[in-house]
Amino acid sequence: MTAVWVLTKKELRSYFSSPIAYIVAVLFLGILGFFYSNSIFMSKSADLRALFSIAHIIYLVFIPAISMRLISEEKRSGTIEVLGTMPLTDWQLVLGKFIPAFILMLITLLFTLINYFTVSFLGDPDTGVVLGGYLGLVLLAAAYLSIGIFTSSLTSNQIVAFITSFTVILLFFVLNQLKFYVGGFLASILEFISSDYHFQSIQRGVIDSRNVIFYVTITFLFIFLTVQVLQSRKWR
Amino acid sequence: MAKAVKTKSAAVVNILIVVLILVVVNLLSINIFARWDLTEENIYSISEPSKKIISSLDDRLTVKVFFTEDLPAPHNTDRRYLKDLLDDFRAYSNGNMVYEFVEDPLTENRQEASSYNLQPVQFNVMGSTTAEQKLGYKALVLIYGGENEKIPFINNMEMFEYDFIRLVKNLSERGKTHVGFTFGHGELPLDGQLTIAKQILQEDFEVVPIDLRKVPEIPGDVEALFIVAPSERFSDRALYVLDQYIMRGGKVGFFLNRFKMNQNMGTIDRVDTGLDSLLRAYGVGVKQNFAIDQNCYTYMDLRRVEGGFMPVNVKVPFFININNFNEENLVTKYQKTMSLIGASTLDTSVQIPEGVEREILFTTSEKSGTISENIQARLQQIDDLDYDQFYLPLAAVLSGQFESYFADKFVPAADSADTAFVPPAQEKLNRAIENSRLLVVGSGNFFDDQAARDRSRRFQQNFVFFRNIADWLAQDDELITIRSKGNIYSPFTRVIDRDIETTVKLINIFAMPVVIIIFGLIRWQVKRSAKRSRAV
Repeated sequence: MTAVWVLTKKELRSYFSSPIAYIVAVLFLGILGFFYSNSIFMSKSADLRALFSIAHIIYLVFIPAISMRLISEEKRSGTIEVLGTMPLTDWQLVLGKFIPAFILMLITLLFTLINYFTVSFLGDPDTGVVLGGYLGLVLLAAAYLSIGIFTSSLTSNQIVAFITSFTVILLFFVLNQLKFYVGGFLASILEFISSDYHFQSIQRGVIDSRNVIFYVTITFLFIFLTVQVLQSRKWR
Repeated sequence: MAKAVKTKSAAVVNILIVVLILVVVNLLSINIFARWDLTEENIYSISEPSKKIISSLDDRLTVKVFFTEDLPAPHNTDRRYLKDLLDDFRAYSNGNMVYEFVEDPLTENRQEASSYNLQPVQFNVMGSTTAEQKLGYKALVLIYGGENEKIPFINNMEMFEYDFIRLVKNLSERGKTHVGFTFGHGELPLDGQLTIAKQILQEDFEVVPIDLRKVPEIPGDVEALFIVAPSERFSDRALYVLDQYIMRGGKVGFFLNRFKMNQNMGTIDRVDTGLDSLLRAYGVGVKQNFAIDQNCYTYMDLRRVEGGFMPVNVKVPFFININNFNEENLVTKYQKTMSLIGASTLDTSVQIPEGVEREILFTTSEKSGTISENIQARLQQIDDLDYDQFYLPLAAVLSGQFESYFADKFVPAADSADTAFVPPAQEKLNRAIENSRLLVVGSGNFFDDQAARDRSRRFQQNFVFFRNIADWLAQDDELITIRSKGNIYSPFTRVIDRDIETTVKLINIFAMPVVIIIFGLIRWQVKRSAKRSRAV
């Protein structure tokens, strides 16, 4: 784990040394704050449900933007080969890329708590619903980041990585709607693998092991697939 | 850490095994799961009263669910939640409840759905280019002891537990409680302005009109009586009939307007029904005033200024939003909001008789006041009104054994107009022989048809309160607990003016981005300084 921690620190330092992390976080918080503020004064409801729904939609662009460079940049600059010569397994490399991106997401989400404090000033939001919503956003971020890191491992072009991860994440998001075109048993499967379906359930303030297992599964699966992509360099 | 795979085929097998394991884990998780309801009022878990009711069933309850599988969001999420809830109910039913999801209610089993008079409902689905409509079922039938009840469309899952338990109670207890509405003193008519309130009550109660002028006494099977916005004076005889009903344990809801709009003259006239004297004897009065509040309905208007128009928020101070509820009393424990127009405050300086308890149910906000004189003129000068009072009581409950208003008075004779009058069979009671409950609200129109049909739905919560009143008066406290916890709406508890709104918006949008930018600039500056000092 030391190797993963060293990589995590290095990545986090590089995030905060370049303006990208700041720009992305500022845009995320600004857009979220704008739409959420308008929404609560229209509904006159002191809760964060609108914030969670809007954040989920912004994730569709925000997370591919964070994850697009994670591995593709290493591939483009050729440093992936250098990393290959180091005493570092592919799992450690992938986790060393995934964890700092996830920490960046958590820090950004932490800043959204300002909305909780302002809404608590206006009314009395249900803390359980707030906890559920934030847990949903954290699990969703992990799942979407794992998709992003996977697509980033497939190409050396960041734009291609961004478009691919955006498409895959969007697909997971809209599966809940696509099921109307298929019907029957297949509809139930599409529903179950839709990220939105599980998020709707968890953001009510109900922690259901089925939702948590789903997100953990997606996160693990795509990290595992990323490792497989990196290992493909060593195939005979 | 796994060792690097050496061949492509081995990697494919590796991937397939992992995918298979993950699929199996997820399939298992569908049936073996745990759920934690974090909501403050456990909205998504069944409540203790529900468990008690469902466990006391003494016959087999069969539940048939007609739920089309591929309904659009958010209805599709409801299917699983519904199944979870039914599983919970079944677990507490001591083996007396079974349920089934009827397969394909739209095609194969449509006839079965029709046999229960269930009709498919249209759902809007976003198609590739336009919104399309899809037919589907989201209904449920309960069968118990050869009778059945149904929910033709499960509209609101937050209210499902209440709807379900209400029907279970109807089936298992058989026979509806009687609730009376007085008429003959200018009250809102049941078939005029109270048609929707009547419909709501008829789901659980037998609603009967009662003319106090023409009955010797209120029938004993009437559990609760509603007196809604009377505008004419009650005769002493009518007051006596009412008083004796309370002495025998009858429960009464008083919904009183102290003013009435005279449509022809365009004036606001005082209303004196004589009920106030009666109520004061029981422990509360209704003042002859108009409550005003800064926490009120506002609308946007265009005001002419130099060079054009400017949008301004206009307050309607007598259109009060209520947010201060008594959380100790079951009737308002879970109530978060409601609206009253032209309410009067209660007089709580009245002495409370021995053996009686009084509780205030809700009040105005911390910035409120009253108008007693020149009401019309003063309401036209809204900007000059004073809001120097706070938490003025607007509704209260009294419970206990009351002393008769007629204790030291003769039994009033029947009015000459009371042709159908028959002398009362029972002797006058000077003191209550049973506990009673009285509820008094200084407003009579908050659950009329106009409030129910208001498109902005701002009176929606008034009807939750109204239903709670009916259950409280009929002493069905279990249903109040179950219904009220379904209320997920969390209103603003603060009086919001334009300044607060703007400040909150600015903080939400800019505060954190500014903090991040400042942090970034400081970090950049520190790094630059460090670089310079290294170069030196």
